[in-house]
Amino acid sequence: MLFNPEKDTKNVGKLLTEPTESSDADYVRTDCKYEDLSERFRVKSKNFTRQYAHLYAERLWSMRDKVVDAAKTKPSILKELSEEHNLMPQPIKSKYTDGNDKLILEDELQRILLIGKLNIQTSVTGVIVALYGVEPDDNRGKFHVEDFCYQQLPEQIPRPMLEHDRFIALISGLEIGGKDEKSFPIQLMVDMVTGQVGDIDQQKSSSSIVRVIVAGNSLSEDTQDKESLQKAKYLTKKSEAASVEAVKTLDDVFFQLSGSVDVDVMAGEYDPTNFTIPQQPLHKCMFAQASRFPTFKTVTNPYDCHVEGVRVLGTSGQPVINIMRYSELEDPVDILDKCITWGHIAPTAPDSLGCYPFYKEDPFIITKCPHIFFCGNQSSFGSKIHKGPNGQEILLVSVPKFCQTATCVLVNLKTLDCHPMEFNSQFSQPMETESPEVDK
Amino acid sequence: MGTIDEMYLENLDEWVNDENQIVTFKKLSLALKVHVNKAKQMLYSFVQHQRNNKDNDHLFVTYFVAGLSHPVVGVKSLKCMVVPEENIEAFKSTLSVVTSSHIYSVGRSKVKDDNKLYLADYDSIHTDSTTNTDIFKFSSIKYPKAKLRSDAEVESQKRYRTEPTTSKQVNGTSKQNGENGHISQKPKQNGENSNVSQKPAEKPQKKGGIAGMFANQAKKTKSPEKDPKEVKEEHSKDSKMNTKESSNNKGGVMAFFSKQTAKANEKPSEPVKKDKLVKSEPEDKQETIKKEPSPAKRQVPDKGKGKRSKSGQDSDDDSQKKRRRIKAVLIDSSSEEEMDYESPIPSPVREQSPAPESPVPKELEKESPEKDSPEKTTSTNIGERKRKRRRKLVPKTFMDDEGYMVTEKVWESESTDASETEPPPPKKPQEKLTKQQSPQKKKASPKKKSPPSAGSRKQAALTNFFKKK
Repeated sequence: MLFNPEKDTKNVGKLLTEPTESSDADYVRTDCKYEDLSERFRVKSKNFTRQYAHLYAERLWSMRDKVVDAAKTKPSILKELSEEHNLMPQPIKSKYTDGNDKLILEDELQRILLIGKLNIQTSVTGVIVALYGVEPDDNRGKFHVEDFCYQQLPEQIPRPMLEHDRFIALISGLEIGGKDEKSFPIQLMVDMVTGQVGDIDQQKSSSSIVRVIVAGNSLSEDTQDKESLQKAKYLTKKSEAASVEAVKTLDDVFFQLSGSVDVDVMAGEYDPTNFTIPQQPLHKCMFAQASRFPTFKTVTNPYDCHVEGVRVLGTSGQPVINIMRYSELEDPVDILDKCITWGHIAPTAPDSLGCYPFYKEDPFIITKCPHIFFCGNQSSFGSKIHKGPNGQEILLVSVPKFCQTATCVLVNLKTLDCHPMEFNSQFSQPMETESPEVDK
Repeated sequence: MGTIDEMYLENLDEWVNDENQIVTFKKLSLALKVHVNKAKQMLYSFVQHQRNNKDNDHLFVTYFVAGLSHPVVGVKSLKCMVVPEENIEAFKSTLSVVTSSHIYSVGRSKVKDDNKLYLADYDSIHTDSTTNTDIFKFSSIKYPKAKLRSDAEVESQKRYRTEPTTSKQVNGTSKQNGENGHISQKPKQNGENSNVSQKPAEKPQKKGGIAGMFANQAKKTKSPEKDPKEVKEEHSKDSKMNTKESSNNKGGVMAFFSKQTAKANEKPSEPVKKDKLVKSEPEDKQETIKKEPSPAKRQVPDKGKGKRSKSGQDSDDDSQKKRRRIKAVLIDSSSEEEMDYESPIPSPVREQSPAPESPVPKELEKESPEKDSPEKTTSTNIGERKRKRRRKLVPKTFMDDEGYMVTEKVWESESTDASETEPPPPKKPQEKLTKQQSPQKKKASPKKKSPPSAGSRKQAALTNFFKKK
């Protein structure tokens, strides 16, 4: 927990006194060990002429070994079967919202309809899976699945034992420039993280936030002015893009933040960068003020890094939202859980999720086990510990949209505890936000 | 400490009670340059003081309260809330643990939505087009790693970003600025703002340069006055009015424009004067003519200097500029034919200037062609060309039919001379006269001479210009 109630409340109200010298708290934020591991998400060559087939092939080939490994741990019959049928782990297809959806197993050569144990509604296209079952003689063309398994979760490097609490703050969906923009809560959040508001002990706690990760959609969808694309150039020449004002506001927010803490800004669906994942970092030119600080960083989406030896992996939410659309999985945390199980960050790419046509690599395969796996821009906060077969522990976090919930998430790197932090004000309807809380 | 106490209470009293501002702890901290926590306490003590000693119960105080909520599905969330005073207890009751509670803002009027609070200290946080770095100084958390890159570095970055498109134009105009002070700049701005017909033609070409000028100017004027205290005072005083504007002032291209508008608001006084002065010209030409030469003369040598020095350095760049100017001028003059009384204002000051000295450039031209300076000849020609059109209001001496010398102020004829397309009757006879008689005639004749001769030379020089190219 962020606050130790006994220790941290004795000074509450101290600022409701006459001015004293002792109130001038001065905490120094500690620098943390940090390493950017997102290199694989940087698209170096920009070749869009390739087909996507390579991506599936590559995914299949690079994950096959792992899946076969995993299969070995299953009952020996599976092994036999995969030898007998010469079956390869293959992608599965499913469509959303229809009971008549069919799963199809496909490898380089052929495809076959799947029936049986595998749950259609929680499967999505692009997942590599090993299946155990039969193709009965009286029902040719259909494969009865009796058992299945996915990639084996890679070994996890143990988390270092941290002496002190260290937090990272996850924020997503500021959506500045939109109608839901929450100027004041955003400012309050900034003030909280940077140690402006709060009592002395609160500020001390805030000083242990070592990193702020902004998980996409810092700009609102509304700033994407698609109308101007259809108008003649001479009509729009003098009009200003809607995003200009918003970017300036955003720059200001980041400036205030990065003057006090390390900030990583991931690109998101609505942000002005490429649309297909992996999204490349936003250009620093956009943030004239914030980029004056060495602490300000724009990063890729997905984003992978080490903070104090804790491996953090996450996306701005597109893969999760996409899976949500194409399956009956609803809870983002469950989807994250599935992704870990499937061993892939974005299985539905390139089928239903825009993706760069990689050749000979699939950077979205989870080859290194993270400690924290998050996705941004979800409708609500959620978290869960995913326990791997070999004692891996992964904290799954769904980061809510700030513009809707005014909530960011604090993760304690020492304990992997995680809790939301909500910012608001009560002026218009004083009792509205309270009543549900009281009930609970 | 005692004096400080007095000070801040007085300050707060003034801001809150007299100016009806909402003072947040951040604003106070930045204004008085004290730690944020101290600012919070100051607000508290101010409220106490007001309520206890002055019976002022009309203060609307908001509090920042934070704490852990009761667990919802096993999750405790940290709630940070700004609430009006009367709701504190209600809110606290929803928390399992209260971790913070302090005054957020004090004001006289009731705050109905958080936007007001957001705007209350917006101006203190945002100075000019940048964010006030003082917010880091008085915060409770310092992060040594977050060091601003040096200003020089940033400057160079900025320059790199803004200049590629504008540098050339800026060079031309700013050099003049440097030499003439604001003289040449103001008319131009004037023309831009007042002369509608000119706008479309000029703007696209000069936008960058003008923006650059404004940027420069803005920098010049803003930096010296940047006594932090004053600024803050100002800010706090007209915070409400400024909020919108300053929200726009955040740098980048927009900054140019917002600054420009700001500037435009400040400027008018002077240009307007000039406007009037020149506008009155047509009516009382004699006076203005007498007046004019002085500023004109002042300019002429300057221009000459600038040209000479420039042409020596980089004729290429220069000629480009010149060509642009020609274009603009052409457009000018054509529009002037229609606008006549409005538009010539800026240009006559500049262009007429060579008139009194016309003999000199003429000679120069005749002598120098072999030497070098194609620019020089062309430019003077351009000048003359314009001059001819604008030449008006000149008193003339000529022989009448009976052989008498007659001196007349013939403004009508001259003004029509300007627009050859529609020559009114009185003009033609005069022109003929001058042509015939000028060779024999005396003192006043040089002036007479120049218009026709300029016309004839004009064309030759234009072709000349193209040949050189």
